[in-house]
Amino acid sequence: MHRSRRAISPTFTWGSTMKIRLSIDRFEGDRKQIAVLLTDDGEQINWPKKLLPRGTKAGDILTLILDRDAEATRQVAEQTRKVQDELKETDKGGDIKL
Amino acid sequence: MRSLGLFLLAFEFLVLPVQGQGTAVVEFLDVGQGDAILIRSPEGKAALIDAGPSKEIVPELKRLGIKSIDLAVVSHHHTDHYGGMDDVIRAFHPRVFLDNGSSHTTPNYLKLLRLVRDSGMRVIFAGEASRKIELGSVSLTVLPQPVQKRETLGGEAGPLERRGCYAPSSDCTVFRGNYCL
Repeated sequence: MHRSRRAISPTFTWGSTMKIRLSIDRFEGDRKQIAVLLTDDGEQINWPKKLLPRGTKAGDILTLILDRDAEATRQVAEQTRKVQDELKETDKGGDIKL
Repeated sequence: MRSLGLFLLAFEFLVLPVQGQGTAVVEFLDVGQGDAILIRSPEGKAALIDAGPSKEIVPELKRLGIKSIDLAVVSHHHTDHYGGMDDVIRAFHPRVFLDNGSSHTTPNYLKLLRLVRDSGMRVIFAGEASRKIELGSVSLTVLPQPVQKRETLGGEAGPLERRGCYAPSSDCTVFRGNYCL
């Protein structure tokens, strides 16, 4: 009798990274475009089918890895502030008549 | 005197029509999640507060006979309030865009701000003092947000205090983004 070569951990957290095991329960929507994903403890996630690996079907097991990207967050925040500063420079304040 | 009011998550907005003929109309459009509020002055000027979550807002505005928008407002940076605003900007080229100035870090919100910038429309922000906008004979006042709300970066503001002077009546309506009086 063979044992599994590696145990599958339903969820795994390491620093800013989380790894979650999901199963595809079914597809919903007019065009079956929404995949209903389930965590092992029953949490349900509605996920666009177009964002699944090609060939994925109901009953498949997926691994979702979430990683907090601090550098990307900092970049977007900086870019947002830059655009807002540009826009604010054009606002002379005061009341507006339309 | 009629009055309408806006109370937005990241700042407050009070609308006070000045005396005049005709009727100011406020329509709360059914956009599902979020909101989209259309204010029409007796003179036919139009302001749109939020644009719901999707592109469906543009055909709805056209169905209502809107041909131009004088003022477009994003109450705050959640997609159920600004998701349809990019299409509104492309379709109607609003004269003025009012932003709440909140810092937020989603690429989608950044994309909207860049569209606003590149469209060349006039952009105004809520400040620390009240600011009036005359929409024809309808007077809108952008009410300043409490300091602690302005300093909330990218987060959900807490429940906003109901204050007597902002209470709605036949002459006054207040719009508060996620919160209704």
